[in-house]
Amino acid sequence: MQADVADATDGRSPHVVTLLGLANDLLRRPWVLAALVLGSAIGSALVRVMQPRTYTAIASFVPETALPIGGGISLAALAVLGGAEPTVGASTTSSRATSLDAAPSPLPSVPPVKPLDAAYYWEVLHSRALLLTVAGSRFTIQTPTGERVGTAADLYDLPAGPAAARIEDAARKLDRELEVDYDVKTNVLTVGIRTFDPTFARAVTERVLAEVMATNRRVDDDRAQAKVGFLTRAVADARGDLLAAQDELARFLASNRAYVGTSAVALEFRRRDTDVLEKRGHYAELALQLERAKLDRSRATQIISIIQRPETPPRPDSRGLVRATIAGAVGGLAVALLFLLTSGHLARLRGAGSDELRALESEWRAGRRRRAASRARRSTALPVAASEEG
Amino acid sequence: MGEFDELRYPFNSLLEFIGGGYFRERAGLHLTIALILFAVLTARVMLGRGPVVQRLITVFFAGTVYNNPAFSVPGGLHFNEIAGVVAALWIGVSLLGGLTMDVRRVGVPIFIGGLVMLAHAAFVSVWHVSLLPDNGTAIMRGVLVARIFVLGIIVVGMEALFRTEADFEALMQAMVTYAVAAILIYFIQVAVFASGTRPYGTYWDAGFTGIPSFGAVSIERGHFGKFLIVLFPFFAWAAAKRRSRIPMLLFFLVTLVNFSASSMSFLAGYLLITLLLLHRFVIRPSALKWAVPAVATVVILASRFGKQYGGLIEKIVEYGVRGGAGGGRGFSVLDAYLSAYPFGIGYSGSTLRNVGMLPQINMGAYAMASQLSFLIIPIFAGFLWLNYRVVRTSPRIGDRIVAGLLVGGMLMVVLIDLVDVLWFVPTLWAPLIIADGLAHARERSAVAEPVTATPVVWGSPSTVH
Repeated sequence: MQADVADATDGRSPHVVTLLGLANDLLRRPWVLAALVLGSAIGSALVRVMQPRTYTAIASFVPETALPIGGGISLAALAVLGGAEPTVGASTTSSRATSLDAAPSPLPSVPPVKPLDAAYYWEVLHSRALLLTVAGSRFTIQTPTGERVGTAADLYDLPAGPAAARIEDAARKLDRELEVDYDVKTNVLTVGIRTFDPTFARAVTERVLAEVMATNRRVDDDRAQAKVGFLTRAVADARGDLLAAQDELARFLASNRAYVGTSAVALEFRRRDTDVLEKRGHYAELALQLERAKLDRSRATQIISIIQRPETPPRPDSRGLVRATIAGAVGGLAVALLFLLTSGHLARLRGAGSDELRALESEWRAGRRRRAASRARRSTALPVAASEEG
Repeated sequence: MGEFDELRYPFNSLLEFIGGGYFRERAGLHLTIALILFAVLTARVMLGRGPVVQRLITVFFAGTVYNNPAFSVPGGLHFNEIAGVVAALWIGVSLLGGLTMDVRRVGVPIFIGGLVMLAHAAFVSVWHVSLLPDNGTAIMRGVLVARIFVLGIIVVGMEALFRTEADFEALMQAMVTYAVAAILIYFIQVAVFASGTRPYGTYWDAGFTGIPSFGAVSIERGHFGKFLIVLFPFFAWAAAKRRSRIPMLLFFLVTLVNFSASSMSFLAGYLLITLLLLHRFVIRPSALKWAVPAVATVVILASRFGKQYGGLIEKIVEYGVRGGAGGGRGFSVLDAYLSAYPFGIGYSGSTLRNVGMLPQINMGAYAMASQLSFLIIPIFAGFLWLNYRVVRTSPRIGDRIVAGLLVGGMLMVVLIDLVDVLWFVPTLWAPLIIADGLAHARERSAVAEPVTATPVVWGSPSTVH
């Protein structure tokens, strides 16, 4: 260490190098540099050329802003009216609502899922349920040898096995080939599926799109169903309350047929009358909400608008051959630099008589000798053992 | 407060900040003052001591926290990065002129790491078409790797140009001064907010504390917190060796009120490591005079912001301890990447942390694994080896406290790299570079003196002089 320090100070240490010295290391074996750069570039180009051609079918859609079911009063709001505690998340998330969220409602409301969020669509498109459904459905594609019908697993030529396992494997493959892109400015979601066959790419994309719509509809229906169920119970309760209030008023009037306008009885009458009116109003409002919710449930809600339907791609995807060649050349250059500079440095150390390198090399040689000796022992021991057995 | 919205930046560069008239608005007041302060500080550095390239390097390191769009030119290059690129070119010319490099120091290993990552990124992008979908992404990837080489060449230059302890002290002092100015800007921003105007760069807190915090001179509140917290060793150095206690107090205060979970946990880590390494110097009766106001401040802040700190602890436990999937820190995100790209996506820094619509990864170790795949083992082992070598040479630093602070900073950087994607932020490498530089600066001035090769156990009585 002391010697190194002293060498470093006067510039004679093999560890201290100059750029020109490194350039000499490279130029000492220029053919290695050229071979690695050219070899990597050509190899990369070949890899790209040998990769099977792919076809990408693209569909794009805009997630629309859905009108809240029930004329602006959300389920959470109704739950609050019904006496339920608002959820903790409701108050915190409402203030952080993005432009993609649903129209604001008079009371805090946070649906359990956000069907209008790009992240929601990413989750849906990469969900296991959707992929399994798509992978398990049957497709018909045109091939040069004729029409081919089968599931995604068949068309991917997956090895034979249990049907569920094959569908699972096809779904995973599909997941890797599915790309989703979201443009924040235009709010457009683009789904692309890259496969080996143009017809299959279009068919899968269509199926994925249909499944997204079906999922949306299911989510929407479930929510509408929940609202209808809740409102039905709320209306029944309100009707019960109204009837009870009316009965009480009727009983009161029956037992107090004559009273003076300012008496306590008259005040009680007005209170009970107002109570009946309030309950009637409440009942009427809930009944209206219920009818609207029923209407919404029966209406097939379309919450995405298709901008571009999937089409059969007319030509295969670009291979990006130039980019790949340049990337290969750059990678090859990096490897060449690492190789040549390391070997140049080792040569410098060897020339300077580095003790550490000498120890390392002798250890390496000793290891090689040990391995060779053990190989030789094994090779001589085997014929002896064979002859003894014989 | 419940109806509070974040306010980001309506401009992308200094030109837009000036051209759009944002500098005249009250919402942009803190940035206008920050620009003036940055200009004054930079002028002071550039007119100061040492060769021009040394001053450029100082600006490169000290200006790291100033990564707000107002401190960038069109294209996204920040002022400190411009200084870094110019310095790198300058050093490149000097290397052609015969400037030497020592392969056992820090700069050359950074170069080697950069070359390995460049080769890996190039080859994986050949294999996966989606990694280089267009020329823009290809250029971006090239720029990201080039940043490693810029850092490497600057470190090589520093090894040759920063010769004395005074050079490194000037660098550390500049880092502290720039950071203090950034902290003052933070409080100006708080004042603007309190006056009823929402300043640009006002942020929510990821839903855990319920009060806003600010980006100050950084692009985002988290960036500000993280870029500032890595300067802990230098603030501690200023407090210990230069008697600059007020900067240290401001540093603690801004870290405590910024409510960044990362910076808060890193601060705890720094304090713990410093206490472990330097307990002989820290745990002393004379330290009580600082301990009492420190405890009082913590009690006051805890009583005022108890709920917020509770939220932060909840966040740290959720993401850091339980491994919650939120915020791109879950294992499932890494699994998704390695399933799609078993050989990694290539070095992408923090800029290209996701491919297509695969979720973004924010956990440092997972991001590293998703980018480098199997290469993470040699690269990280090399990084640890580099740190080990510098720790081994650190006893040559004359001052035990300085050495302890820098070694503590280096150890924390290893943890920070595993938690966050801040790998090639210059100030993260600063403790390593400065510790190495100070060890060798001492050597140069005392070549004739035999240097003890006995490893020193930090905080042991034998190390206390």
